This record gives sequence, C-alpha cells and structure tokens, in this order.
Amino acid sequence: MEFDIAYMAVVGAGALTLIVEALRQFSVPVNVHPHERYPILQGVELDTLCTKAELIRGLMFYVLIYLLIYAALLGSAELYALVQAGEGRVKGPTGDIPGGSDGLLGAGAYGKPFYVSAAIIAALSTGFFAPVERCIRSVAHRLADIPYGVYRVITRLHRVDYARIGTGYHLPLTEAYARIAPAAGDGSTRDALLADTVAALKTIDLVGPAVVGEYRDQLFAQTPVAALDSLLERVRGDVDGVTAALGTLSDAPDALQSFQQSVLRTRNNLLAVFALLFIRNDRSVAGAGGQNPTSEVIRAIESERDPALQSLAGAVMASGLLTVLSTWGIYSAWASGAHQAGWFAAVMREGLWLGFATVLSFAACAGLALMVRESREERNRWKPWRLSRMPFLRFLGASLLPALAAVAACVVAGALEDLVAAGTLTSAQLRDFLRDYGGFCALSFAFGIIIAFHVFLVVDLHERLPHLATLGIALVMAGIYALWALVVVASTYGTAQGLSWQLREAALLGAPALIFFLAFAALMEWSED
Amino acid sequence: MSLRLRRLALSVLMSLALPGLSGGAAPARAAELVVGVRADARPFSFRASAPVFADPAAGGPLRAAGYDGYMVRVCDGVLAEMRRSQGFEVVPRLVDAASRFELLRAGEIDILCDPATITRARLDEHLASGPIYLSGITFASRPSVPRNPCRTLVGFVASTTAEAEGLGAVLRAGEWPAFRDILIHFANNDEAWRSAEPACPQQEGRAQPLRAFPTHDALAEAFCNDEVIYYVGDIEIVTAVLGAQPDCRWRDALDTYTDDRYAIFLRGRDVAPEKAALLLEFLGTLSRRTLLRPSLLDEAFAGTFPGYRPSRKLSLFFWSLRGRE
Repeated sequence: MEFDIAYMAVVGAGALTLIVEALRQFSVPVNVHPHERYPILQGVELDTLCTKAELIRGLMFYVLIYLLIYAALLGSAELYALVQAGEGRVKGPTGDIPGGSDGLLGAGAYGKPFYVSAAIIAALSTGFFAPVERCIRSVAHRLADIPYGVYRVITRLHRVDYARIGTGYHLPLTEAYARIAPAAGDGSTRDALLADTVAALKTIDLVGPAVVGEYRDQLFAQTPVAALDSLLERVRGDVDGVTAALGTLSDAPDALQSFQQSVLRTRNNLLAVFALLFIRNDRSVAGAGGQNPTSEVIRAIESERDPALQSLAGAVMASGLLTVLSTWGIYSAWASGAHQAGWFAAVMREGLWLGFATVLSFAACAGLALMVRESREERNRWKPWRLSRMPFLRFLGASLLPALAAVAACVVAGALEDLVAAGTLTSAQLRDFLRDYGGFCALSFAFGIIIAFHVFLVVDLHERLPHLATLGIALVMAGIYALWALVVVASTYGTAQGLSWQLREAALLGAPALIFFLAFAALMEWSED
Repeated sequence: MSLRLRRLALSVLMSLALPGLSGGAAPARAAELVVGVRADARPFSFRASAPVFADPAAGGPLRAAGYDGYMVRVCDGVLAEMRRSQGFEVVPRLVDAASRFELLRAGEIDILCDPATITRARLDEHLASGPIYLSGITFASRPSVPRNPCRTLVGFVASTTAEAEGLGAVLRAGEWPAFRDILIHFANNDEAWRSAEPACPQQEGRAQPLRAFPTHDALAEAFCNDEVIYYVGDIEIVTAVLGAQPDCRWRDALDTYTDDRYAIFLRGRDVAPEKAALLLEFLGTLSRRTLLRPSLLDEAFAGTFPGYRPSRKLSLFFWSLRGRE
C-alpha cells in the first residue's frame, strides 16, 4: 500500500478514459419523462428546460458518478487482494522486494485500473446495462436540479399572491369576467367557482403580457430557442381562446364550468412557459427592480426560501459546534478527581473530531432525506397523512438512501481521523479499520434511518402540531437514537469496559443527535412565522 | 574472513599440528559442545511437550532431548552429521532472551540455537554463521482495541530486536495512529504521555504504555488476559506462541515491518583448541549442508511449518543461498 507514483499515474489514466466515455455518453439527447402536473412540458428536450450552468453541473455529476463506480470497483479489488493476502498459508516476512516491481505493462497490479475502466465502459455501452446508464443519468440530473429547477419555479409561481400584486393594475380579462358573472357574495358553490376563475384570470392578466404580449422582448433579453417557439405559440393560442370565449360567455352554470376549465389550463401552461423563459434567461429579467407586475412576481418567487433546507443548515451548524461543548461536558461529568495536564486539549481534540463526524453524517443523511422527500413530492408520491395512520412503509423506503449516506459518512470520518493521526494509511490500518469501524459503521445504518424519520416527521407535521409537540418529537427520536447508541457501544466494544463506560460512550454519540433534532425542530417551527 | 575467524582458525591449526604445545595436560574427558536452546521461542527453538524422538539416531541430539523448532532442526542436522565421523557430547542448555548472549560471552554455552537476529553489536562480540532464516517484526492486536485504554499498550520480550528496532519500525510505518503520541512521549521520557487519556480513573492512573516481558510465554499470557493490547515480535513467533495459548483470539500479525536475518552464533573468544576445532567443523558442515542441494534449510522449513510455503521474500532468500530448488 505504499505510495507509488507510477501506480497513481495508471489509476489517473484509467479515470481519464472513463471521463472521455462519460462525456460522449452524456451528449446523447434525452426527452423529459411524462410529468402529469405540467403537461405542456411533455416531449420537450431536457436541455431546453434548464440553464447552461445546470447542464454543466449535471455533466459534472454524471462524470463524478462514473468515477465513483470506478473507485468503488478498483477499491474493492484492492481490498480483496489485501484481505486475501492475510489468508494464504505462507510463512516469512511480507512486503516489497527491492527491484521487484512488474513495470508499467506487467501483468501485475499496474494493469488493474485499465481492466476496471475498460470493463465499466464495455458494460455501460452495451444495451444490457442501458437501464443502469439511464439511472446514473437521472441521478446526475436530480443532483443538478434538472429539470426540477423548472418545476420548483412553477410551484413557487403557483403560490404567489396575485390578488395582492394585482391591486392598482389594469386587469382586462378579470374585469370583463366580473361584468359577465358578478359574485353573489353568499358563499355558494357558484361563488367558489367564480372565485377560482377570477384568481386564474388575474394570474393570466398579470403574467400574460410578459409571455405572449409586447413586454416579452423587453423583459427577457435572450431570444427563445426554436423549441420554445412552439410552446409560446400554444400558450398564445390558449390566451386568445380565453379572450374569445369571454366575448361570448353566458351566465349559465355549464358555460361557467367549462370556461373555468379552459382558464385553469391556460393559467398552468402560461406559468410553465414563464418559468421556462425565466430559467433560460439565467433566472433574471431586464429591469427587475421596476414597478411592474412581472418584477413583483419575480421578487415574490425569489424571496421564497425553502424552510426545511434552511433549518437543516442551521441545525447542522448548531450540532457541529455544540458537540464540542457536549463532549467536554460529558467527559467532565464522568471524570473523577483532578484532571492531569493536557486533559483539556485531549478532550477538545476528541470533541472536534466528533463534531466533524456529526456535521458530515447529519448533513449527508438529513440532506438526502429532504431530497428524496422532495423528489417524491414532485412525482406526487408524497401525500399528506394522518397521525393515526403513519406511513411507516413509505418512510422506511425513503430512508434507505439517507441511511446508506450515514454509513458512508461514518466510514469517511473514521478513515480521515486515522489518516490525519498517522499521516499514512497502511494495510494493517485498512484491515483494522474495516474490522473496527466496519461493524460500527454498519450499525450506524439505523442511525441514518432514525435521522431520516425525524426529518420526515418534523417537515410533514410541524405546521399541524403546536410548537411544543414538535419539540416532543425531537426528544422522543433523540431517546431512540441514544438507545441504539447504547446497543452499538455494547456490541462493538463488548462488556469488558463496564456499564458506566458504556453509558459515557453512548452519551457521547447521543448528544449530537439530541442537539441536531432539537435545533431542526425548533428552526422549522420558527420558520412558520 | 574476519580477523576473529582467522584467529580461531589459527588456534585450531596449532592445536592440530602441535598437540604437545597446548599445555601438556590434555583433558581425558570426551569433548562436549554446550548448545543454548530456548523454551519459549517457538517455532524456532522451544521445548516440545513430549520428546520428539525416542531414538536419538533418527533425528539429532537436541530433538532427542526434547527441543524442537526451525533453528533447532538446522543445528541438529549439522550436529548429527558431525557425530557420524567423530565422538563428542552435545549438552543442551536452556537460555532465555535476556541471558543468552551473556552466557555465550562467558563461555557457558558454545553454540546458540535460537532465533537470534544478526546485529552489529552481536557480530562484534561473537562468531556467527551466515544468515539461515529471514523473518520480520510484526504485531498482533487484541480482537477489539478500545478507543481509550488505560492499560499497557505494547508488550515485547526484553533483549530482542522487537525492543531495539521493532517498535520504531512499526511506528514509522504509521501504525497505531491513536496511540502514537502516547508512545512517542513515553519513549522520550516526556511526562505528557500521562495526559493523553482524558478518562483514566485518577486513583488507578494509566499503566505504562510499554512493557518488557522476560519470555514470550509470559507476554502471550498477559496479552491473552487482556493486559496488553499489542504484542510485538517476529511474525512466526507471535503467531506460533499465541496459537499455543488456549482460547486466545487475536488479529493482525500479517504484515512485517523489518527484515531480520537469523544466524547461529558461536563462542568466539578464549576457546580451547579442541573445542575450536569442533566449532570450525560445525561452521563447515553448516555451510555444506545449507548452501548445497538438498538443503537443510528446506528440510527444516518443511518440518517446522508443515503445509506452509515460504513467502515471496523468504523464497528469494532461500534461493539466494542454495540456488534453484
């Protein structure tokens, strides 16, 4: 395992061939998969739906996933060789023999990176593994927000309060409709229908000029690509249809009903195309600071922040910092008698490493949990639920990926700690690391599931529950986490160290979770106001 | 030929050519060779639980006396061959790691048949054969290594190369990252090693991180009782000694960190002429039996490690001595 420049060069060359192959594969165009909420976007090519920057980011993630597969395969081949080396019936010293390497083109270890990268390229370019390639690509898109960036903008556009923005502006369609079908003001079904139609018409009045009207060229400097032209034509047809229908509209319930359908469809399409124009212009419009409806709409969607993501960032920071303090507190509480010189520095060092591991694992796990939840929400597969019927199966399925991330974070943090302490990574360390941390990190899969469950519960419930109840969820989940920590400590280190020692170790592991869970719940509650 | 060997050869020649000059009072008793063997250094030199051979003629004098191991087998092969042509007594004498070279220097033993690594200090004081085995320092770890142990970290046998060079080699390779600071502080007599553990009970304090043991058996017992976390020693010895302990589990002891060449050391000073002749004969026979094929080295390896083959390094070592098998 000694550092070997020639071997590193061969590994680099293997990676380079993979990168070239990944770039070649990525340039094959892909159409958007059907999305029921935005029918107008079906069949549109993917690069129409995102900015150049997002596309490049997607490409980078795509290449990165190729490289991760390469690293995993090559690493497991090396680990296999390492583990196998210990099992041979051999006596005598080990290690390199002076002048004993095979040379670059030898059949020994130097060929391995090339075999691995060639195998990946061969496998992914055959039809048999095409689904794997598609999966890699969709994960890369997901990570780069393609095309979910558009979907998110559309969702935000739907949440904008158009009635507030609309006051003071001339709204021709809304006013014409109000003249034809005035609301009775008695709260009847008819009134609800009228209110829906009015809201949609207001949106068309406010956003329409920016998309199909004379303002478009002023607002969106970039000329829309050809692919957008057909969409624009379709939306213009929709808006013209609504205007024409308004001219002949009668007050009859049936007519109002069908008119409402066409208005809602037009509004949805209009917002989708507006989002596209916005995205294609790198999320900016000319003169956005001005006093016009478009600028106000854009200010409204830009000021909207994702409270879950904000709370996550805050909670991760809080838990990272407070873990250092909690480690010091726990060691102080357990230590008996006076401390020896250097005690404080040793405790602080351990606290810093624990804080680092905490930040890494909680950010990866909870972040991925939020991402999975959002992805399911986009696909309409994350429906509201009641406390009496908690969707355990859905939560469990959605928490598998975050749990794997927790395991990976545990391995990375542990390996880094060893590497920094020793400066090198020896074969014995790798083997010991796998044996020591292997069990511990495998057991932290359950930590990942607990973290993900907490994220799902708090994000889904915080609006319906009172403040204290959300904090109660955090306390319960932290309790479960601490119990599992005790199980992990007992099973990893055995009972030789005594109960008090085990309790201390469990407390060291559980305290960061308590801090994170409480901080996340509190920040989510805070974001409601 | 070193100066000392030349002096020995001269005294041997003189004793052969001029018997009358050697003092006149030629001893009447038959010549004898006292051979130092170990009880604990398995699989190289140890006392077998039962006599290895009922018939002394079948093996050699040492194995007939109940000792066994790779070094013992090599010595035995040479001694048995010598005894075919001349009569002398072989007296096995138990030595331990700390006393062996002292006894050799004092003339209490003539030949040391134990896993003794070639070092400059030893070559300066004694005669030695050419290298006859290649081993290396390794360490075994307890099945689970606690994060903050308060007991002894590393155990080794006193007066071995594990103490002199092994620990440094293991640390230089980057092993034991968690305990590196403690060990380095302790080795440098820096009191800071005491503070490295935040939670050792004050009244008990922390045990010294390094501890020397008189024998491998004592070290293995402490290791298996969880009193020591790492057992440093030559790789074959560590695995064999731990393997002989009942119900003892360990891990690692797979990589080596040094290349240690073993040799048979002989008494090199103030040797009576007839004994000098025997020692010279011993060295000559050893060369003939190991450097030519079939080699005693292969025989001893196959007998000591049945079912095992030499590692790549050890194969090259054997090949460099006796040529292609």
